[in-house]
Order: sequence, then C-alpha cells, then structure tokens
Amino acid sequence: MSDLSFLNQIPDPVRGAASSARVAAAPRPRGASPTRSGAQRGRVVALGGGVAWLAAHLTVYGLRSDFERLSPAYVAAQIVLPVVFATASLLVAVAPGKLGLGLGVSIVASLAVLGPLSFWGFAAAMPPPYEPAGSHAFWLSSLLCLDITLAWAAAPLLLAALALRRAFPAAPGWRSALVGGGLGLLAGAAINLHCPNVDPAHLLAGHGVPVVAAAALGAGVVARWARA
Amino acid sequence: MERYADGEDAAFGELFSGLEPRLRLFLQRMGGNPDLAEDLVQETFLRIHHCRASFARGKQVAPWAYAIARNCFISHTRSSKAKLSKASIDADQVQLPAASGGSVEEESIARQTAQVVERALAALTPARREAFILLRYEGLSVAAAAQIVGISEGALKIRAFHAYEALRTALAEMNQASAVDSGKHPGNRWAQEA
Repeated sequence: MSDLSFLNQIPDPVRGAASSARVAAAPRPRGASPTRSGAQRGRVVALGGGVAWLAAHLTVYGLRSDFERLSPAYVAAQIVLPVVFATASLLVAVAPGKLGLGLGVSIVASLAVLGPLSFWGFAAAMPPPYEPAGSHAFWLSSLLCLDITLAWAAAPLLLAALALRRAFPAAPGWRSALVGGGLGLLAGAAINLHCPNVDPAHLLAGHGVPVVAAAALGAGVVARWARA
Repeated sequence: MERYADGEDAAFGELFSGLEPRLRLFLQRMGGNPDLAEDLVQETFLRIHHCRASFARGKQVAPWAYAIARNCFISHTRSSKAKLSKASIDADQVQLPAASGGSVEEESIARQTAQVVERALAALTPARREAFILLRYEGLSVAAAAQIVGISEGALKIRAFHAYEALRTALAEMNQASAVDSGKHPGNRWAQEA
C-alpha cells in the first residue's frame, strides 16, 4: 500500500467550490499574542524558574549524607540517567521537526513512556549499595517522599503549562506527557539527591510514582493549555 | 507567515488570503456544511493569531495551519453545542464543478456522484474521513498528514484505505442502481469522473 494513487478514483464532491464561493472576510484578531521571540523568552524563564525551584528546595532540604557509600553505577542510574532522560524529553517535546509540527509521534510517545519506565526500572533493578534500614515505617516514609516529589514537580509543571501555551498544533497529548515526564524525572532525580533511603520498594513508591503522575498530569492538564 | 510570527501584524491579511480557500474547503469536507466551515475558518484564523509563536522558522505553513484547523474542528465536535451529525449534511449545498458544456445527463450524473460521495464521507468515522481527505483532496504527503493527525504513517494509510473501500462500495452501488434504472450494464462511470 505504498502507492496511494488509487485514492484518486474517488471524485471530489466540492471541487470547484473554491472558485465559486464568495470570498470570506478576514477576522480581526483581538488581543495581543506572543511572537516567537516572546515565546522563546518565556520558555527560557520557565525552565530557569523550574530548575531554580528544585535547586532552592534541595538547598533547604539538604543533600543525602551517604554519598561515600554509593557506587558510581548507582549514582549514575538513580541521578545522572534521570537527568539525561529529562533533558532529552524536554528537547524532543519542543523540537520543531521536519514539518514544524514536532518530531514524529512514535518517537515522542516512546520517550514519554520509556522515561518514567526507566526510572522505575532502575529503582527496581539496581541492587541497594548497602542493606536498607528496615521497613517499619515504609508507608510513612514513602508517602512523605511522594508528597515532596509531587510538590517539587508541580511548580515546574505549572511554569511549563504557562510557557507552552498553544505551542503544540499536533499530538499535544503525547508532547505534553513528555514534558510532564521530563519534569517528573528532574524532580525524581532531585529527591534521589536528597533522600538516603535505598530500599527499592521505597524508590518505586515514593520516588517513582510521582514521575508517572507528572507525566499523566502533563498529558491530562498541560495538554489542554498546550494545544494550538 | 514568517513576518507575522515575528510580530508584523500587517502580514495577517496576506496570510488570510493565501490560506483561507484551502482551509475552508478542508473544513467543509470534514463537516459537510459550508456555513459551519465558514465559522470554523474564522475560529481557525483567530487561533492562528494566538499561537503564531508556535510556527517554526523556515517551515511550511500549510501543514501547521491544517493542524490548527483540525484542532478547531475537533473542539467543535466535542463541544456540547455541536450539532454536527449526518443529518446536518445537506446534499443540495454540494458545490458542483461549473458546467463545461456537458450534456444534461452528464451534469445529472456528476451531481448524483457528488451527493453519494458526500453522504459516504459523512458516514465514515471522523478518523477515517480526515485521513482520506488530507491525502486525497488536500494533496498532502503521507508524512505530513500523519504528523497533522498525530499517528504513524502506517496507521494513516490503513485509515485512508478503509475510507477508500467504503467510498468505492457506495459508488459501485450507485452505478449498479443507475444501470438497473437505465437497463445498461453496470459501468465504471464514477471512476471516469475522477
């Protein structure tokens, strides 16, 4: 089905309408709309604001105290790779693509799913660098981290929604999910920088769930703003 | 569009006159109603004004504008006030090609064919209809149409093929009925019309 010329067998019911129809009057656009330079500035400010938000909270909450006990592979999987995935997600989400409609939906959708999944995968698959402290307060500590991570992701998400208003003419749901997932990954990496709990179950529930929630919020809420 | 996206408001008129006929026909084909298409064109251009910053530098304007027009159409069909239905398609409003010296019988066949295609298009699912319209009538490439709809190229081709099958069947039935009426053997007149 590579050659679709057979479609031309179907006649056009409205051919000729273009020449016979009266010329419509142009609407008068009201209200200021951002230009490209204004939108670009807005995105830079939103990204800077989001990163500053996370950095400020990390400064206040403090970095984890067990860095010397962590292997380089563990740090790479829990902190470096989420940041790399987050950066890639944000870049892919706003890339103009060949036609100016963004990169292909297959790439966008794959990354939107793979980003949060990779965070869960590393949380579940990486062996803890030392014996976890015990699970007597598992739910409480997980809920606490879940709350903190969600709050850390919320402000960058809101800034992204404002900066990406009417930015995606095509596939806004997937692109917004990618933005949400990317910001969730940044928040996930930040909480991994703060929380010294190495229990995989805690990482999945307390740190990983907010990453997925951020992607879902992106698809459900940010997409409404970002649809062009 | 480049100038307009950079903030030159005076370029809007030029943009409107260049895009309006294509977008109006696209929306008329999608909704089957010229009045609705006119309203949606106005809405589309208002949206274009508000999201001009999303137009990427150096890219083609048509796929971008079609994507926004499609979003307008989807918003309309999703709104609770939307009264778009198969019943809203008035076959008498179909704009037929200007008579080119053909016989009365040829004009009648052309009108009947247009009505059958219009009804068959309206009976399609919106997903199949838009795939077919973008490829066949708007002349977009598979890659561009797939990007606008937000699906893979393979999925778009399948949708367009299903639409083609439905339209072909409708036209074949029309041919059969008219052949029975006139006592002729069923031909392939609709294909020649294309």
